Amino acid sequence: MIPLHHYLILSSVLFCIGIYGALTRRNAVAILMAIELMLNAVNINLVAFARYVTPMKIQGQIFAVFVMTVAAAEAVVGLALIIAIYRARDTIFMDKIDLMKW
Amino acid sequence: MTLSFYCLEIIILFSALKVVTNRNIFHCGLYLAVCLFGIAGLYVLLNAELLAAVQVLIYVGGVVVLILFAVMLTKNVTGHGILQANEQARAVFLASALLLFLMLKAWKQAKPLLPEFPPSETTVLSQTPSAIGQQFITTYVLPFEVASAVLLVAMLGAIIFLKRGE
Repeated sequence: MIPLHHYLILSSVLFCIGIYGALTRRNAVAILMAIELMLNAVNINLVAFARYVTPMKIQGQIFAVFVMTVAAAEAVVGLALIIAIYRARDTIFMDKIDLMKW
Repeated sequence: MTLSFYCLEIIILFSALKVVTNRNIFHCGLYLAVCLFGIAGLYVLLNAELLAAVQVLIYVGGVVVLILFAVMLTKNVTGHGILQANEQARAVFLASALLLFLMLKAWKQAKPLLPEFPPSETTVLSQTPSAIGQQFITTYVLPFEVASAVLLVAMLGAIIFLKRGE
C-alpha cells in the first residue's frame, strides 16, 4: 500500500515546480500553464486527504471539483486577456509589458 | 499498485519539470497534457473515478486545448536567441526550494497525527459519482449555483475582452 506522505510530498514538489514556473517564465501562456500545475497539486492534496483521513465522506473530492471549475474559468479569462494584450502590443513576453512599472 | 504509483509519479514530475523549463512553448503545452493525464491516473488510484474522468474532460480536453489555441494565436519566434526565463530565475529557484523545505518540515511535524496507510477498500464509499451528485444537490447546492454563475461570467468576460473595435 502507498503511505499518505508519498502523495503529500508529490503535491508539494509539484506546487513548488508550479511556483518556479509562474515566477520565472517570460511567456504569459507559460505562466498560465504553471498556475494550472499549482492548482492540480492542490487537487491531489485534497483528494489524497479525502481518501486517507475521511474515506466515508467525499468533501475533499467536491472541493477538488470546485477548484477545477474555478481553474477552468480563470484559464479562459486569462487567455482572453493574453490574446487582447497580444493584439494591442504585439508581444506576450512579460518583461516587455512594463508600462505600469515604476 | 505501488509500481503504478511510482510510474505515475515519475511521469508527473518529469513532465511538470519540462513544462516550466522547455524553450518551445507548444511542447510545454503538450507536456502539460501528459502531466494532467498522469494526475488523472493518480485520482483513479485514490478511488476518485468521477474526478479522474472530469480531469481528463475538462483539464486535458478543455483547458490544455484552449492553451494550445492561445499559443498558436500569439505566435512568437521560438529560436535559440529567445530566453525563456527572466532575470529572477536564480532567486526564484532558491525561494521555491526554501518553500519546499518548509512544506516538508510542516509535513514532518504533522506526521504523527496523520494515518499512514489507507483504510481498507471495503470501508471506502463505493459509489462515488452518485454520492458526489447527491452532495451537490443537497448540501452544496449554493456553491454549485455560484460556480455556474462564475462560469457564465467568465465566458461573457472572455467574449467582451476579445471583441474587436467599437
